[in-house]
Amino acid sequence: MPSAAFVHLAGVFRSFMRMGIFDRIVLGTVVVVIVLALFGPLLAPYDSLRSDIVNAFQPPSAAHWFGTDQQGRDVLSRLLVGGQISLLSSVAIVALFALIGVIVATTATLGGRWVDQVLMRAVDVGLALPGMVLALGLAAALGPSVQSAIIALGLSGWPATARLLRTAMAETMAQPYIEGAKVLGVPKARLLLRHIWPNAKDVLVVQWTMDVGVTIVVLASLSFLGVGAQPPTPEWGAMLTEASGQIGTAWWTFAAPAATITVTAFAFGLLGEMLQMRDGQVEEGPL
Amino acid sequence: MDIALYTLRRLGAAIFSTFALVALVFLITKLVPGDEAQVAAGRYASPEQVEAMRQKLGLTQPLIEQFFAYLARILQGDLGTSISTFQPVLTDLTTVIPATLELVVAAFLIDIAVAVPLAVLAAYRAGRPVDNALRVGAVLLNGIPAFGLALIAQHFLSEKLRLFPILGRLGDEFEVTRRTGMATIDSLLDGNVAAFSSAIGHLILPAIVLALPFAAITFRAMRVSLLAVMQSDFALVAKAKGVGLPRMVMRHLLPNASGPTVALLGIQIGWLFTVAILVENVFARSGIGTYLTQAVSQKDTFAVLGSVLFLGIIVTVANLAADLIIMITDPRIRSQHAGSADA
Repeated sequence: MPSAAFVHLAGVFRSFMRMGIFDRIVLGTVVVVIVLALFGPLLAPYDSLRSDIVNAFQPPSAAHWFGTDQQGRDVLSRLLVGGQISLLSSVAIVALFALIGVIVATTATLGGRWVDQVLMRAVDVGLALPGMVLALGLAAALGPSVQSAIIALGLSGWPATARLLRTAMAETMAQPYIEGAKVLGVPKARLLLRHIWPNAKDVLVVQWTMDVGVTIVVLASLSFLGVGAQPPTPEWGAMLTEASGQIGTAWWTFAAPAATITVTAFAFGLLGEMLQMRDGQVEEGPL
Repeated sequence: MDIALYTLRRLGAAIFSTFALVALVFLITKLVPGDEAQVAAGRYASPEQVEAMRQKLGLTQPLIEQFFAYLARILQGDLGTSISTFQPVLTDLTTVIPATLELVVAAFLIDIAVAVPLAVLAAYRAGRPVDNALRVGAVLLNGIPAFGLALIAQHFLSEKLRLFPILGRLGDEFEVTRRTGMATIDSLLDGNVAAFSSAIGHLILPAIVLALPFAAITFRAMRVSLLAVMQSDFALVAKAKGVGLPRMVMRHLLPNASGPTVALLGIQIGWLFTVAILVENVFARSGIGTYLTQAVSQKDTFAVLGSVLFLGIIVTVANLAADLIIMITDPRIRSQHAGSADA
C-alpha cells in the first residue's frame, strides 16, 4: 500500500529530524557510503582499470579530484568502483556468517539438550580459534582472490553471532508467553518467526552493523597479506597495498583509500553504537 | 579441589579446541585445488618425488585414515616440508616465532600501560573535553586498518623524523648469539648494551602500532567499569572518609573495576598474534607473520597451513593461561565455577 509506505517514510524522516547533529552526520555518512558503493561504477568519471602512463602520479586537481596512481589511473574512479567490491563483499561476508549463526543458534535452541550442548561447545571452540588466521589459511588454500576471501571470512565468522543469538533466544524462551504459546499449540515455525526471533533481532542488528565495519578492515588486511583481492582489482585494501611504497612520493594514492576505509568502518561502528543506544541496550554511547 | 577441577575442565576444553583446529586445517588441505601430492612436493618436483609424497601423505588411503595419519604426524611435530626453504615447517617456525613473541609481549604491556591510566583520567573527567577527545580517538583508532597505521607511523616517525629505525629487528652492525631468538633478550644475555638499545629501538614503534588499536578497546572497557565502580556505595564511603586520590585509584577503584578488562585482555592475546602478522610485514621483522606471507606468495601451501596450525595452538595455550590466571586472581570466578561444577 503506497499510503502506508508514505507514512513509514514520513516517520523515518521525522525521527531523522529529531536526532542530534552528531547522529545525523553518522547516519548521513553511512547512507552516502552505501549509495556511492552501489552506484559507484556509474558515477566514476574514468575507467578504473585503463592505465595512462603519461599522466602517472598527477596530484589532485580539477580533472582528477584524488589524483592518479602509478599507472595514471584515476584514484577517485578506482575508489568508486572498488566500493562495490569492498562494501558489498563485506555485506556478503556478514550475511553468510549471520545465516550460519542463525541456523546454529536456532537448532541449538529447539533441538533439545544434547544438540544444544554439542553445538554450543562447537561455538566455544570457534570463538577460541583465531578466525582471521584460519580464514587466511583457507583463502590461501583456495587460491588468492576476493571470492576466496569472502568464503573464508564468511565461514569463520559465525560463532559470535551464534553465541549472541543463543543467549538472546534462551532469555526469550524463559518468558511465560512462550510457554503460553506452546500450550496453545502454536507450531514451531510460527513460534520462531512470530515470537522468538523478533525479540532477539535488536541485539543482532547492532552486532551485524558493527561487523560490516570490522569486516571491511579485515578484508583489506587479507588483501595486504596477498590472499584477498589481487591487482589490478580496485578493492580498497588492494589499492592501499599497491600504494604502500608511495606515501612519501604520491601521498594521495595512499591517503585516499586509507581515509575511505577508515571513514566507512568508523561510520558503521558508530551506527552500531547509535542503534544500541536507541534500543536502550546501553546507558551511554561512544560520545 | 575446586581449582583443580576447574583447571582440569579448562585443560580438557583446550585439548578439544586443538583437536578441532587440527581437523579444520586437515579439511582445508582437502580443499586445495589440484593434486595435493603435487602441491606438497612443489611445482618443480619430479613425477617420482610427487609419487613418493603421495605415499608419504597416504593419499591413496580413505579420508578418515588420512586424517588419523595426519594427526599422528602432527603429534610427532611433522608439519610437512616447506617447498621454498626445503626445511621442515616446524624447524622454520621455531626459528621465527621468538621474534613474534617478543613483539606481542611488548605490545601487550604497552596496551595496558596506555589504556589503564587514560581510562582513569577519562573516568575522573567524564563528560568533559578530555574524556570526549579520548573516546573519539579510541573509536577512530579502531577504524584504521592496522597495516595502514603501521605504514603511516613508519613513514612519518621513521623516515621523515628519523626517530626510529625503519626496518628489521636489530642494527646490521650488531651480532648477537642466538639463545632465545628474541633480539632484546639475546643482546642482554650477551651483555651487549649497544645491541640491546638497538633491539629496543627496533621493537618500540612496531609494538606501539600493534598495541594502539587494542589499547583503544581496553580503554573503553576499563572506563565503563571504572565509572560503574565510582558510583558504588563503597567508593562514596571511601571518598567521604577522605581517602586520597592515589590510594582511591590503586586500592579501591582499579581492583574492583579490572574484572571485565582482564577477561578482555585474555581474548586480545589471540588477536594480537593475528594483527602482528600485518605489523611484521610492514616493518620487515622476520617473524611468523613474514614467514606466513612469504609462504602465501610462494604458494607454499603446507608452510601456510603449518603456520596457521601453529598460531592456533599458541592462541589456545594463551587463552588457557589467561583463564587460569583470571581464576586464580578473582575469587568470585573461582567460587562461581566451583558452584557450577557441583551442579
